[in-house]
Amino acid sequence: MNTPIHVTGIGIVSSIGIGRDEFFAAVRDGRRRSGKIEDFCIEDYLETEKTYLDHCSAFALAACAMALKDAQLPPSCIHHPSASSGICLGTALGCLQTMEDFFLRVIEKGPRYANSLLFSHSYANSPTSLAAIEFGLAGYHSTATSGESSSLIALMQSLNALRLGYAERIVTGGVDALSEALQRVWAQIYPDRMPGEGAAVFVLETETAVVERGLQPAAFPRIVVQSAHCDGASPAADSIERDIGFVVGAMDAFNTATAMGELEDAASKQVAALSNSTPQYQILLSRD
Amino acid sequence: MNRVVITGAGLICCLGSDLESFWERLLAGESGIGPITKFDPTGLRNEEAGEVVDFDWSRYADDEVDEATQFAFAATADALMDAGLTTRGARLSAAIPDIGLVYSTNFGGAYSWESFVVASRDASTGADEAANDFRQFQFQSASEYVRQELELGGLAATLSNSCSSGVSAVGMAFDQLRLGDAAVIVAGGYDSLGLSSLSGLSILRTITAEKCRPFDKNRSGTIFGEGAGMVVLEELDHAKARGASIYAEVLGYSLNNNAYHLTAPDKEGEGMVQVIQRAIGHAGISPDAIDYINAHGTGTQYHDPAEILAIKAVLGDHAYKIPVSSIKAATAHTLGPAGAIELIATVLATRDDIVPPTVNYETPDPDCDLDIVPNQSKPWPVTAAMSLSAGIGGNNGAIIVRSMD
Repeated sequence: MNTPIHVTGIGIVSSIGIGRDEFFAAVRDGRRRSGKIEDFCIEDYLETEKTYLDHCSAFALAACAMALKDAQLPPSCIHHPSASSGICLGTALGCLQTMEDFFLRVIEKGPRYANSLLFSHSYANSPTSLAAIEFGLAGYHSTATSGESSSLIALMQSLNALRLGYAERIVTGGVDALSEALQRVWAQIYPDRMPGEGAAVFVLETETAVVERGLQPAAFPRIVVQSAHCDGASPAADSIERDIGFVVGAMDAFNTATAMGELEDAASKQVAALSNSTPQYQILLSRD
Repeated sequence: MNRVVITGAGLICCLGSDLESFWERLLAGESGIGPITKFDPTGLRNEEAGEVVDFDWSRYADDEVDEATQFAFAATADALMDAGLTTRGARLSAAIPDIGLVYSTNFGGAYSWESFVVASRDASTGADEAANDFRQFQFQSASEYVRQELELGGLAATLSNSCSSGVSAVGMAFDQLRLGDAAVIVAGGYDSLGLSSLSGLSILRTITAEKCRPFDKNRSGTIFGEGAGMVVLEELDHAKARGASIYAEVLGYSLNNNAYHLTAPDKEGEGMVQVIQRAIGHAGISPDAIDYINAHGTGTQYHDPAEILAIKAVLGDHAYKIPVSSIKAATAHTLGPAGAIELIATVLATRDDIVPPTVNYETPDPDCDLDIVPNQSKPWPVTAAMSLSAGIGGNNGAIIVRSMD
């Protein structure tokens, strides 16, 4: 249950950079760009051609491909008969463009002429399931659709699953894509925010799995503690109320970490990241 | 690690909108499937479904929220009342302010989505109206509404794992409780029928043009339905300390993916084999300890025998000694809540030592040669039982419960 969990791979598709190094360089340089991703081609990341992919699924597949490559995971590890590799992704809206395209055709032509391909790619879990199929991730499996908390809920599920021994490694993170439907209501739904899309995926592995692969656990960041917190703010709460939620949640995370003894020697550890993108969930990353 | 028990349950489906009438009709071998009245079903493979017909939202609230959210709210409130954590018309006790929610759904606010698609493309529709439809559709909107209305301060999460959603939500809540991150969580699923989802499931030919006949040789598909199923999961000592009645203990669960095909079933049932093996392993029991299996049993041509094959692969000869039934021909396949509603039926089987039947069964299939409890419920001692789920995308789920001494 107290098995250390390490981040061994990262894959990112974002408007400011695709791939770990390009993304971090863009962050360092303070690069800003429209939230829509340009110059993305799924064929750059997959070995076989796909008949159809929603942008959300394409971003997820590309990010997973990059993360698994970054983790230097051989297919024998992923396709192990014990199905010890799983996947948990979060998405606020899933394959919204495909959902709308599918239903518009139903409205126009009737149920008899509905498009089965579009329907099967319209589920919120389609990106996660397609990634499981593409990369042979037959183990623990889930999709979180918890609004802006989705990716962190997926991360929480993944950490719990690893700690409870349900899997040795889990590909986890979040994905969303812009769509015509979203653009029609963006200003009303997210009044203070710039539209954005992309995917960010981690490969999380238990320390045992890392060692079994002949790698040094200390080379990889370790998840220190997670803290779920709910501030009671409504979805329409203004930004000040949400910011208070972030702070309370962050304090929860630090307090929990301290109580668990994880941060006893905080001075000797670098807290690499405190993710507080939502008021409902916080997480600390540390490198020893 | 903490032990986790079920102390309350609430459900809404075509068989009933309260726990005991649902159970009574299910055991009587009734089916709630009937003509679709919510929208024009012309063009669907079957114009029948498991519609919820006796649900009165005004008993719970008067807010204008999507029907799916109404189902989720009502099942949650009923489950909390059943657990003795609130009373009708009153807000939750402040003594337990950190109750969490883990919901699951396939289609969110389906009616609002369809309304949004139509209205938001019409220039005469106001921006606020379109935005309201969109908010009501969003997958997390039900959990946010319920959390606010019932003043719940715990984790609020929503999952979407196709037709294994219900099991996944209960599983996630189970993990939170086992690890001591919460004391009480309401978990389960909800979905409402819509033209969009039924059109897709119809064109995939998952829907039968006839009756849903799980495990029958002449089965030709399933019939879909709607509703919600919620259970109150509670850490054992917490439940004991407040003197709660306990239905059953959750021993373990498992989720996985066939990693095979988005819509085609794995005819060998390998993914289902793995998920059953792992659930039994996590539960810490022997396969021989399982007394009853509530199968996914959709009535589709390929999934039913694959599921039976998987059960036999894991349980061996023991599979032939226990009842294995499907309630989908009675409740219809309720999508997101299916796993939760079937878990509730499984829990009630452990409570009453009786197994619900597989209705509409006529012709035995040699590929489904277990005791599928045809048409009539069966008195049977049930201590430990397992409920199975599967869904589009290749998702599988299994959960095991045991009655308390």
